[in-house]
Amino acid sequence: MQVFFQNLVGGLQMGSIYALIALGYTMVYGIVKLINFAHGDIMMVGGYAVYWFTTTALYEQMAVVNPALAIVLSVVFSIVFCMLLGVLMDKIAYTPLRNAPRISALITAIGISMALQISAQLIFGSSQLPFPQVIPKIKLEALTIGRKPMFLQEVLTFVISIALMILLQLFVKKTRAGKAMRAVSEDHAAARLMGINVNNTITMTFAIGCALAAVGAVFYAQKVIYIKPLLGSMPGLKAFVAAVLGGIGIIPGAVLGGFIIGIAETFMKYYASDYVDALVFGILILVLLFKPSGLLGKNTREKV
Amino acid sequence: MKHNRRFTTLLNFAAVMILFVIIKLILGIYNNRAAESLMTQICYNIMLVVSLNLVTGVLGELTLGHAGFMAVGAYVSAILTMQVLPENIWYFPIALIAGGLVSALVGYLIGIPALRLKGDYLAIITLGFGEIIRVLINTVFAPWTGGGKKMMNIHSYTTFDNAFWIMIITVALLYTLAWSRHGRAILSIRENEIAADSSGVPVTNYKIMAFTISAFFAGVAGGLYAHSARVLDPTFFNFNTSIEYLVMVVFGGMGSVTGSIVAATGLTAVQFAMSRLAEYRQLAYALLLIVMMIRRPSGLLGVKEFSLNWLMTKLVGTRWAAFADKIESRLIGKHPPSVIMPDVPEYAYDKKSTSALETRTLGIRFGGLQAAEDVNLQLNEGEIVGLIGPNGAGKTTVFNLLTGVYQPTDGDVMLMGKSTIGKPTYKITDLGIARTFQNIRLFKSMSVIENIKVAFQSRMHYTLVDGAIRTNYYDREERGCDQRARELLQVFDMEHLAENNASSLSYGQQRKLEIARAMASNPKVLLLDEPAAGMNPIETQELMETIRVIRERFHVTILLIEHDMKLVMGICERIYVLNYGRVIAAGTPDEIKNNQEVVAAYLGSPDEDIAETGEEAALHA
Repeated sequence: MQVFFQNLVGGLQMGSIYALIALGYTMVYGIVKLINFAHGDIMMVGGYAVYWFTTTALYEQMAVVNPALAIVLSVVFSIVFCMLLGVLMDKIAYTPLRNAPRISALITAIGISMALQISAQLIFGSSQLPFPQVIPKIKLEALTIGRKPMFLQEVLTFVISIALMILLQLFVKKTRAGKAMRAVSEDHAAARLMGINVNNTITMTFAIGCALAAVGAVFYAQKVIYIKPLLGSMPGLKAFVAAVLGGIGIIPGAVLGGFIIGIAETFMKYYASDYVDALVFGILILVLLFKPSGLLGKNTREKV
Repeated sequence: MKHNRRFTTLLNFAAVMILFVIIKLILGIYNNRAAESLMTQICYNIMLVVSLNLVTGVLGELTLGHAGFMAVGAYVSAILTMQVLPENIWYFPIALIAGGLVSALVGYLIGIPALRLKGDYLAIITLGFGEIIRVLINTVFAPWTGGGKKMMNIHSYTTFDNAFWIMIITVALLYTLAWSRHGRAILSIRENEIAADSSGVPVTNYKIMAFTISAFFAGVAGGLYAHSARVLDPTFFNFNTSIEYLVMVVFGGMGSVTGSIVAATGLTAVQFAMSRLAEYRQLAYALLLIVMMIRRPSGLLGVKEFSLNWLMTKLVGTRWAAFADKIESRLIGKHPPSVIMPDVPEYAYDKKSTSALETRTLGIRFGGLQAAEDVNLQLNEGEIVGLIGPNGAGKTTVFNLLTGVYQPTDGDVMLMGKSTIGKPTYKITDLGIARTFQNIRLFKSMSVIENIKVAFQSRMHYTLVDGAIRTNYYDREERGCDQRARELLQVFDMEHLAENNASSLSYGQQRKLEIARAMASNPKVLLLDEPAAGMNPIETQELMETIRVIRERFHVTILLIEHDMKLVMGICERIYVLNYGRVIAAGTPDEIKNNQEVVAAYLGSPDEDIAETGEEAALHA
């Protein structure tokens, strides 16, 4: 039982991270039908942004006065940086390809992914760097299962992620901008005729996805306590799997998929760590065989 | 059909021989191991890229796990040469082919579930496969592969000589495949899957076939890699390696074999030259990709292919063609007779039924919407029958039910007394129902004549092997097909456009080409979905004439959907009227014109104020 709960807590933590990243994949896919392979690397950049900020003099001065504020500021910096990068990426590389074959945009995404990884390598070196302690290592004695208390980090990851997902859902369902996003994802031309600025809406989608990835990056790097240029590739790939699993293009689907992958992976790691990756991709293949549109997806058919 | 085929083969073979000798001479002069290993690497990279091009370029399905197939071939062949077969280079080909076959088998098993579905599923499943195969190499197959440790000291059987010739054979086979009926079918799937299906192309079978063939050659290339690198490390066959080959395909131009060869050669050489500057090289490479995609989304060569004949004609002029003809006639002597396909269908009725096509209480429900209900149509042989009704009445839905695009939830469709329910679309086309589409669906980047030849698919019989090694049977059937396709174009007054690109045709011509393509499958029943949409009155007049002509010439029964009442009333012998998915009236044009229910369906019920006299007039015109 002890082991079960421990794995469950770990799984929920990992699941929150995957869900945050998967949201970016799913939103972009929903709106431009592009598998944005650079998304995992945006997450990596988010990790480095926090790292870089903590090495600046500004941070050091602030940390003396108010350590908590300094940490929050470093995270905010990372979020803003990633959003800007997302906007830039869309404006420079994807906007010219809106009407090109989808595979061209996909290759561009791969190009951006490589460029980001190599840039990180050139600037920070290819070896691992220690990730600063953003969330204090506090044991929460009140939340003890068996004899092992939970860590603040685990709880915070889960709570903040869930809060962000609820916010996102409210944004998409309740605001004007959210309505525009949904309209664009249904039909670009029709949305344009209704007076929606399609290109800006798409750029906004990229920005939101990147912001969530930056938050995910902080939690992920905090869990593994290092950063490296390839930090984003595997979690990115798995988050993508999570998005497909839940039904790509569907926001609650990404969250569900993220938690399934996170929990399954954590348990597998405990029992047979060699097979973790096989399990993740195996689940994906099985789901696609029996429910091709993903767990929450609806079947659509092309109009003939 | 290509002219002077034997001559071209000879010419290409000579060119390849010369190329081989030149490379050998250069390698001999430099006597450099690094140069030879680079040339060998280029050879197996070309194989990988050309085979990936078959799936991603020609078939248009994205795969992200090509390195996985390479890994299967590499490990299988290395295990065979090191642990199973006697240590002798003469057993090397067996190991290579075995590696290719196992890889093909894996591809087949992945392809069956993944390729039944439309969309990006193949990409995602191959991505998963690529990751899983590495885990399996490290764990389940560890006793043979060495697990996480590298597999070392593999025999260095791969030389430039054997890699070169295996590469040439691979390229030649994939090229001849592309220019056979099979390649044509695969290309048509990329162009328009639904139209391919309706033209009698078994879409799923061809997808799986292309994917399996591609996996086979990737496996063979993997075997060459294993016996050249001499060390196998599972981490080499990762996502990035798959992506690297994909990049080469897109870079060269999707679907172009020449493009694949150029890109594989060029990019392999660039990587080799910059291998000391790993980081900056990769950054440049990444930026090159992005810029390339923005500037030229269709790649370096697009879909173009290089041909020596073309080059020589440029250099020497028309004399070259005369020379080619002369040699060709020496080589071939006399053409064996072509296989001419019948152009009038044979009607074989079951039992006493005399209707060409009949539906019984046909219906379909989409969720809560009953799109068609209790539809009973009956077409006699040789009739022209109209199917009219307001927008959204379910006319196209009926066509989709008749052709198996949708499976009905109720009722039955009888083609000459035999039910077609449950049969896939391509089978139904084969049995004798062909159609056109409301929104034109042509194979846009293919030529007019190729568009038509695709639809001969179900009546041609030569096999993959016939096509690959160009047997006499291939020749005879292709020539017959070419002849019939041109005759068909003549009927539509389009023979002068045969070599033009389908997308370059005018709207009216595109509609005619669609009808011609439908006729190529030799249908008993032809379904025309708004054939006159977007045509001007003169074109419509010509179209009416053409429809009558093809009925007489090809003994075909026609059911047509049309809003142009002049056309419907002018050529239909009988008319069915559909509203809200139900047949509300049936009869001769005169009966329909005076049917109150039909008038009400078009103009609103008589209780309401009938103000739209203009439309009423149109109905009565």
